[in-house]
Amino acid sequence: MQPPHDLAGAPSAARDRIWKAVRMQKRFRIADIAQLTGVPRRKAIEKYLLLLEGAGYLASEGGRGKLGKLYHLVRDTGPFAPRLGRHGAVLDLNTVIAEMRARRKELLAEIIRVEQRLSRLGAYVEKFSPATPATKG
Amino acid sequence: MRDVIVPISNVRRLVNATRTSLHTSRGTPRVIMVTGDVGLGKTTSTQHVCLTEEAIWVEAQPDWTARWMTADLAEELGATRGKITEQNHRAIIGALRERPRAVFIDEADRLVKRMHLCETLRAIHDQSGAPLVLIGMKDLPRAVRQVPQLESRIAHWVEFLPCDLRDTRMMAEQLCEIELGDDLVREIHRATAGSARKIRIGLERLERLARLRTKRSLGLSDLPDDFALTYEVRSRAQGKQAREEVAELKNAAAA
Repeated sequence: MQPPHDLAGAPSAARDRIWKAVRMQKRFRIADIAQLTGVPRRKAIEKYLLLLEGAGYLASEGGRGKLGKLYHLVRDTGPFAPRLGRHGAVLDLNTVIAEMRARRKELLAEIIRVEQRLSRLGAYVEKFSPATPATKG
Repeated sequence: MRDVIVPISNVRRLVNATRTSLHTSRGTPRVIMVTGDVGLGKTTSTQHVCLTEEAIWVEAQPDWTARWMTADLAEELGATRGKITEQNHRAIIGALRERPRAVFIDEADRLVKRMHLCETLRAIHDQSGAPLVLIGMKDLPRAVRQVPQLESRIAHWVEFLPCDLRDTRMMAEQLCEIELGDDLVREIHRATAGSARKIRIGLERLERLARLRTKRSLGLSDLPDDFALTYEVRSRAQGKQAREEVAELKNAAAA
């Protein structure tokens, strides 16, 4: 069973920055991310990369040498940093938003279908017009 | 080797230009152009600035069309990837007005070949007031000059120059975990011709040498004769000769 989202932890500025750097670089080692982001604690970067790898966002090769693992970005879901926590808890806003948008589209189509059926039966229906989201300006 | 961005003169100029531009009032044109040859640390330092500021990073694609470009920008700003240019354009302006961010465009040379894309970017810049950072190679200024609407909006032009001796010394001090003699720093500067990437490679090799010899500091006299600070370009004949020598040594060892 998927662990609850509450375990995925609060959003973190350092992790946002690390995720942004990961998406810029696509192939990288820990040292590259440490240099670019300027996140002072190496452990924090290592931990987040390990969690990302565990959740299937990154693949890695090597790792025995002094340079450490070479990571590849294999699943790029979008600009928001996935929130990962204990026991494999994942909260990825990118996929959540995409799912909700798809659901909205389905529901709108459903409303239109119902309206058509009603008007075929001769009922007077006021045409439904959805509010545009704020981002559409 | 330490994992830091060394504030050499190029990086300082870039940071000053972007800081002043990102935090000035809206309405003034805020296009920044970053140019320079390969290996001068252009990408690394602009990525660092992009990460530490409120900004998004988009790489220009060779076959970018207006729809593709606006879709990429909209997605990066957290909006839906629309099917029509108009949708995407509205989404971009809306997202930028809601939360102002700078837009970094890497490989901008690809974009200037297409005049209409520059026009689209100019419209986004004018309507949203978001700073625009174009990163490209040496051809970028010449190409931008052909688009007067974009050229007149450039507030800063940061050109990455080869490192001077002071920059090289700064890199050696801040990146290298061993101490290097002044004669050796001069030699690094001469051998690398001021390319930041090559300086980094050279410093890494010197660190390895120091570790092998368990030394805390190195001077020019400590280097073995065949030590190469940067990679060598070997001709085919030299490569063949080297391979033959290795084969002979192996045979001798086997015998």
